[in-house]
Amino acid sequence: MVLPALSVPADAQPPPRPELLAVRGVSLRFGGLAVLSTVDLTVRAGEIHGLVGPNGAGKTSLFNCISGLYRPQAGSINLDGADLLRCPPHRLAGLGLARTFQHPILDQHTSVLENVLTGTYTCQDSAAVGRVFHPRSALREKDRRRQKARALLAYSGLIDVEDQSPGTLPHAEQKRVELVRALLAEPKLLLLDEPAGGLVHSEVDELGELIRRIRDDHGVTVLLVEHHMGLISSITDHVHVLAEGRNVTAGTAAEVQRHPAVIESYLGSAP
Amino acid sequence: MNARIRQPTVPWLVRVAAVVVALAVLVILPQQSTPYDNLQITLVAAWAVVIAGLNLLTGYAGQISLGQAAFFGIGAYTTAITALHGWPVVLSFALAFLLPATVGALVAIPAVRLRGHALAMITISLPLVAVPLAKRLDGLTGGSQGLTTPIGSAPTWSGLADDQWAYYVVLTVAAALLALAHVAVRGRTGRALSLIRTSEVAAVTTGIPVRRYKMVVFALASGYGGAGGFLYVYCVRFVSPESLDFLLGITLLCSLVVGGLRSSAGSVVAACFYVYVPNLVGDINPEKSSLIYGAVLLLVLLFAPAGIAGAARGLWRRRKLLARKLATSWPAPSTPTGYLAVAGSTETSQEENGGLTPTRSTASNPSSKTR
Repeated sequence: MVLPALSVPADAQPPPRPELLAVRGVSLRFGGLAVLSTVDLTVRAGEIHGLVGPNGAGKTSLFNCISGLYRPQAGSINLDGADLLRCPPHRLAGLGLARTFQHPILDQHTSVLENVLTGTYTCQDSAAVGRVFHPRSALREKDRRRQKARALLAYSGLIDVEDQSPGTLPHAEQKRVELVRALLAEPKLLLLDEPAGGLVHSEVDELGELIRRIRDDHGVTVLLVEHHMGLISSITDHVHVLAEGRNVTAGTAAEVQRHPAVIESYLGSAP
Repeated sequence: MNARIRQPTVPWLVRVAAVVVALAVLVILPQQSTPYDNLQITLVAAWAVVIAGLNLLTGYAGQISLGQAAFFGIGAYTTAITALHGWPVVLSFALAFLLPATVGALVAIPAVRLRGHALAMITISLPLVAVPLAKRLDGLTGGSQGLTTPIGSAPTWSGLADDQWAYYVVLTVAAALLALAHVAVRGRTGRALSLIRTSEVAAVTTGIPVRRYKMVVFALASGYGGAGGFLYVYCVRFVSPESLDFLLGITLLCSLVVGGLRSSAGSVVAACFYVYVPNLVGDINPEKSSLIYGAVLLLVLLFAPAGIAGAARGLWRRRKLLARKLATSWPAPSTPTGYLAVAGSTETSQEENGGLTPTRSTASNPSSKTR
């Protein structure tokens, strides 16, 4: 489905990377309220892809559709060839999808390390029977996961607080804890919902650096909802704009910011 | 100071030593004490199982349930009825676990769609149904009279009195069940449950099948309630509709909170609270027992919001700090150094230090010498 407002320069880059996430014609209604109307979104492997738009544009709703929390009434969502809308929500993590939330959701009663280890849930062998019969290999496996978690905590500058309760950490660090938990699920696509929300200027720069390193070092594709235009401009390869639940435009950050429809949806049209 | 959450809070060796000492005391105890005391301890073990089940559901999975009394009742009646019909005791036990677990799983099908207080409301209805049912089905349950059942008699080869036999059997089974519950909530499962407790949305997106977990935990908690009912009947040999009153469900939840959520030791403390505190309060003033009981509850919640087990863990975690505090306040600054000098050779160095330097005050407290 091609929309008139959409003007993607399809042949901008010579070798197009393979499509990882393909959202096609997704429509979501809550009763009479149309939250998303035939939204399309393509994220290519290895990209950092920004999803922007004014408040109420449906960015988080689209995120919730992709991560299986909302069921759109129409359209399709594919991740690396798998139809996400046919999967129960808890299967999506196993297909390579992980996300963070606008406000970090962490258990205050356990340590940072235990919190991030929750992310390894889908990577673990669930068969308790196997653990009984192969205790040695199960222990090695457990050790390996723990080491990987600690390595990622060190990578994100959180190793010093690994045995603290997340509640004692500053907001920016809590967000990084959530990020590490998501990464430990070994996702192909990482969804970040307003990662810079509530951060001060220097923290935003650090975060941008971290996201870029994650993409480069771990080969994770990133899709982020963000209001912080500085962050969007500095790290994204591609930006998709939504307004009032519809596609507005897509392109590089610079292209999108010059687009009249984008200026209109943020500032209103000139008389 | 409370910030650090270390996983093995209490060192491994201390734990093992504590368990060994406790076991030794528990094995020798029934030979020395009265049948009444034996029964009380046996009851603590039985209720510890019921509360451990509730702890799985409410403590770990964060699902508030006021219906544990109903599952306790199903287990207790199953035991009483099967024993009356002369079934082997192992079969009684299996049924007393499986029947409530099945009922629990069935109740869970609609209940897992709810959370928090809505689930609590639904679970209130269970004992409200169970009590009249137990009264009406008098052909099976003996109605309001209840059932007296021949179970838990000591075999002649054991040479034990009935109360001692019941004590050993109930404590062994309870210990096994508590150990199983303790192991079940560790590692991956424990982390999954704690994320479900924190946020079901976050749990689902992390790949945790939330509903399946909630159903299994609900069934398991119900099974533990039933197994506790079996153990109760095994030592009391009687069950009546009063023993599964709906207030019981609330009292159990209160006891669990007082004992400490998410702690195996907490379940045992909770059972002690449940069994002993009403007795103690009755001894103080039988007319105002509920008032005193309520006051005790409030005091615990005010001063130990994480329950008694949680408070103990907190104290252990801060023991070095507390020891230092004690050390600075206890040997009063005015203590003549002469007294300290005769206490031992280690004190001589302090004379050189003089004054109230931290080194001196910590060294003179024996409890902090380990550092």
